[in-house]
Amino acid sequence: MGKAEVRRRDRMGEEQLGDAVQRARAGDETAFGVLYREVHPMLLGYLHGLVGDDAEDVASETWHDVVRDLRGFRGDGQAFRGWAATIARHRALDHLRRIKARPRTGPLEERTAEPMTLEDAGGTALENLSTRRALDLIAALPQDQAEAVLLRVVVGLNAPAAAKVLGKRPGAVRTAAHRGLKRLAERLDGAMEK
Amino acid sequence: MKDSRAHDERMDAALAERLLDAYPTAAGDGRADALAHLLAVAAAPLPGDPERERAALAAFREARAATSGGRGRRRVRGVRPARRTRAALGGLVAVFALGGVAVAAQSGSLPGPFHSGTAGPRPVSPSPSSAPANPGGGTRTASPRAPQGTTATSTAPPVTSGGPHASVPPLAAPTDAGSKGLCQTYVKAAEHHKGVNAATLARLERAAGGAAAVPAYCARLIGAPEVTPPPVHPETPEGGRHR
Repeated sequence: MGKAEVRRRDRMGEEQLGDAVQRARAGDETAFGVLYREVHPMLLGYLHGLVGDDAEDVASETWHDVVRDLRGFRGDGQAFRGWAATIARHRALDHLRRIKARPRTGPLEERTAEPMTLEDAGGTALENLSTRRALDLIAALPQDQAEAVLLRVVVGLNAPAAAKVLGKRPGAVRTAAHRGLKRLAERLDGAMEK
Repeated sequence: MKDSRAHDERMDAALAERLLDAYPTAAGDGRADALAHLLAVAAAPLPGDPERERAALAAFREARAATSGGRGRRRVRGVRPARRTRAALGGLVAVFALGGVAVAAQSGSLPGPFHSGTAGPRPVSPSPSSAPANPGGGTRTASPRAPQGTTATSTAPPVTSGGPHASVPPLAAPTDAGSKGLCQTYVKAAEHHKGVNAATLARLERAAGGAAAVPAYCARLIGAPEVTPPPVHPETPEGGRHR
């Protein structure tokens, strides 16, 4: 992987994360705590984009699976983020199927049907945007674009890793993310002209 | 002109990648700045529920207690491929393989029995494939499981840093691209005596290397005078939107 795929600088170093993963696999609870506090906020952001306010519930299910299968996991820090995101995605899709079975519109359908503007996101100016509202704006994109942007930006995966989570080709995920950004920029433009 | 449009599109793609990777973008591009700000805010960590963190840790302890009892059998399963390929040599190879595992486990090169204390062998495992196995499709989607096995052969511990309780080095600083927008928010909030959101502040503190360093950091980054820190208002859940 080239230099361009080295991930976001504000994350815990991949080496450190990989080390925590190794130690947690071996039963080190402190290391697992480190792992949880690093990865949980990202999963929460990603899941907020997928299932809205049910994110905490689905994240708990995700951690349940992570804990159960951690010993069988092999890989470094970036691989762990991808693995956890894959589990989170499956739990989220299960969750959406569950709530769809009930007479209620799933959050994704609801949001893709109605393009969300900055005003919809609470009528706040850009500089007062909260994290949840920013995630809502991204989640309002068509689903493939929203997921690509969330995995890249919030979970901190590179394009190949994000593609693996989504079961798609890296090129397709890159394109989806670019389209998503373009659309977000247009919505921000629209909001600022008003 | 067709050529210049293709050029623009390439530039767009390069810019998009920079934004997605949170690398700094060229200064003065208002649209890119606004987008960088939006993405930085979206990437700010959402506060987790401490109750759920405790639950996850409890589940971890439980799983640890449960697996330390049954691990002998799991290891045997792990060496099965080797045994199968050399079945012609009879059961002897299998015996060696198992013996090897036992020795490896004792010398600490395999994930050994869990020790909650600080002493004890620190199990290390090689990572022959850096990627976890992909899950198959399906409805009740099973969690992706990494392949078992291949553990018995390696003895070189890949982990280089300190012991199990080595302290965690400080987090790497966020990029200035993301922080610039947040600094503007921060300075504006201070000037208007408004609150600044906790997620924004947390990110800036990481970038600046501490709460006290934020005003100077922002002053340097956006070329504004240092401000008195604004009050903080916690991230408030906004219910109802996804219903």
